[in-house]
Amino acid sequence: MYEPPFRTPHHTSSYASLIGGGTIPRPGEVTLAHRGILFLDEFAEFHRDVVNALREPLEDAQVSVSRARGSATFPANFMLIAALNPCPCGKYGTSGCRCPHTAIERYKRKLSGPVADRIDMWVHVGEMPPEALAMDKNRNTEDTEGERMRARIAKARERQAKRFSAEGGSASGGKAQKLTTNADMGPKELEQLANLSPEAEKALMTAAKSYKLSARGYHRTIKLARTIADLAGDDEITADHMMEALQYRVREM
Amino acid sequence: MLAFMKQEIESGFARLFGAQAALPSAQLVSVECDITRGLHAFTVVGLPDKAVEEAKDRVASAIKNCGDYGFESPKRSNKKIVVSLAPAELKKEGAGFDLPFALCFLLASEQIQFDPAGKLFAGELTLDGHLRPIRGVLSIAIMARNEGFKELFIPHENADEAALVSGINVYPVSTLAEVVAHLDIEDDFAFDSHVRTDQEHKRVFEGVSLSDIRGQETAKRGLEIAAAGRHNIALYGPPGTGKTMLFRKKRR
Repeated sequence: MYEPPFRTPHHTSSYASLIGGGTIPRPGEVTLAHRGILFLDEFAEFHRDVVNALREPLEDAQVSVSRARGSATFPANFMLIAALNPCPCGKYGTSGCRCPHTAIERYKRKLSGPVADRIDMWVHVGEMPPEALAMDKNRNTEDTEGERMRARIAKARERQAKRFSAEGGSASGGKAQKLTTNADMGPKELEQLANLSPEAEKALMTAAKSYKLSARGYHRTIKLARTIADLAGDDEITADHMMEALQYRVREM
Repeated sequence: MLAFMKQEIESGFARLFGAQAALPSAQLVSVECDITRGLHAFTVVGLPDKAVEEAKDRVASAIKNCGDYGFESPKRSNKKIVVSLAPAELKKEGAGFDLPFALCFLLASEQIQFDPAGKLFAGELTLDGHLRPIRGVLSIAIMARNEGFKELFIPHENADEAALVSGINVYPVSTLAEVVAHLDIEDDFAFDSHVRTDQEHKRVFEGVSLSDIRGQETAKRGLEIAAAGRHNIALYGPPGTGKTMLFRKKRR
């Protein structure tokens, strides 16, 4: 009851189980993951309508379910984590890929633009050279790396909490919830609190033009850069932070 | 104890409150019981589903087996008993009405006496008169508080959940006999309301540790940023490179 939820629905999940439904509307996975994490493994294998149904909750942090017997609005402020292969066989971009061109196209189309646009970060996980996996009995198995990471995250969260409590406010744009992290910011807060350096803004402008970033993408990139600056402990978003944020935004696949 | 009077009661009426746990908010349901003289009948009205309909059997047994009170069960009396759940057009689901149902019958048949004002009851009964946990207690507690109820009687196991809500006294109940003893004005036994549950965040870490994942520095950095700002993230790559493993360890 006290731990943020971590929901991992299988990729065969139905539309109703994810979004909510039933004659008398019941909440779905997006609501059960409220204030926590929704982890969609094999994201590309989900049904297309299911993926598309995530559009509204991803943007508004809530979802309205209307049925004959009544309608309900459920909170759904979750953080989406998706894992997927770049193509049906999974080896796209390497010599091992055996997928026909059409299959790759179909696969890409399935991850429709609007949903992909709402995902702030695209991170490539490459293949590991076999040497890196060599068995080593003396390897340190304590989770020192994890502890350090946790400490850094906690610090960045603290900076955010401080900033939002100074602002003291509720988010704009339909989110009637308290701001806790950068991802919760609406355009209004973003303007007030982002604190972009002129160089960072310039870098963003250039990238926005060449990559044809959507307005949403533009805002989301600033939020991401804000978090990177928070992790670094900087009050101002520098050009470096912005470049890193942009690099996650752009997909090569 | 009023049990000795039971033969003289010919008719009676009582009303108290229960709730239908619906999402996102619960609905207040008034439970009414009317007893009149006549051929034996025992009916539940107000759109009950199967579980509510079956409450008749559970309640009758629970009342019969309720401690040493020697209550007369609704199935034994030669009277016409009607239990109504209002509002009538709302579909009543689940076993949460067992407790108000049982108390309402005891009140209507004047086997116990108490003032039902400001009290809300919910809970499933077992045949021997124990209470079983129900679902949706949090929404019931919020609704009860907003409707101005002062006391909430719910199964023991649900107490922590209900006590998250401030502004209402939560009484954890383990048996029907216990709540009867607490409520009945002729009996001076009383139990304490539940202490408020702290909303502390407990962190439980299990499973994979970060050191189990070799290399993949960009992915780790990406996760760190995503976790710090709660940004949406997608990891893509060939099968077997540890995408799932990376996420499984990610928390908060």
